Amino acid sequence: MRNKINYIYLFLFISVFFLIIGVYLTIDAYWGINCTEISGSQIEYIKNLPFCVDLGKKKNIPLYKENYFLKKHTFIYGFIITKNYENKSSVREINIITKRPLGRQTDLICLIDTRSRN
Amino acid sequence: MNKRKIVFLFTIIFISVVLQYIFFVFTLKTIDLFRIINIKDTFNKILLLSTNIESEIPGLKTDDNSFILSMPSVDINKAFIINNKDYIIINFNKLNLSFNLIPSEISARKNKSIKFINVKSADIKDCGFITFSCSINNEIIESIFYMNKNIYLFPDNFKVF
Repeated sequence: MRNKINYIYLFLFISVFFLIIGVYLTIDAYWGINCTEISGSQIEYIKNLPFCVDLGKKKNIPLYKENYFLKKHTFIYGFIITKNYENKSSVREINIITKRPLGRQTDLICLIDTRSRN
Repeated sequence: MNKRKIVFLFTIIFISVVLQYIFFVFTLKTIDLFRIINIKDTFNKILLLSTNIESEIPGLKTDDNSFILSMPSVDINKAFIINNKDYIIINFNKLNLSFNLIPSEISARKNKSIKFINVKSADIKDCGFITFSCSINNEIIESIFYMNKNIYLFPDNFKVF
């Protein structure tokens, strides 16, 4: 009987451990959706102003005005890296990286034709 | 049952309740977020088919709570009628955000509207590009859009909403 009760305690302890993982994944998914939305918005901005980020340099986001979510969650940050796609100067590869706690990150990569806007 | 086990049980139950509360809160926040994304996608879709931002149309002038977009009318064969415009009126009033499609007399489009309720705030501004921000409860999405330059690129079956 005593042994059985000890197993119940062990089971309770393990279930809390899994509960912590589940809750963290839920929170991380929420952050992830927000990060994707922020990245999408930044891509839309750069798409029309492709030369606002210098080649090979990191630029912190947001590029245009403050972002409410990033301002509120200071531990989430991101930057933009731009390079020529396959060494072609007419096509740029824009990579927006947003970093979240525990090494999680969202990468959004977009190719932009720099010869014309849109 | 000794004291240590009671403390252990109490701690486990307390942690479980707190974690379940956090899970519940974040689930609600995610639902709100998806609702805003739905509004943003509707706006983006309208914008893709629009050609102009109007400051006023007969019987209505834009103010802080309204925004008007125009797009060429379409005939039954989905071809654009260049000199005729359909209008989309976006109106935010008393926690309701509505999108109203007002077609011209010869347009094949029908009068339609979509209403999103319990929207805390909505703001659309034209400053060379269009800034869109919307909030439901404490969730906010801020986006930037540009006016579409070639509506002819879209397939015939691309609907306003």
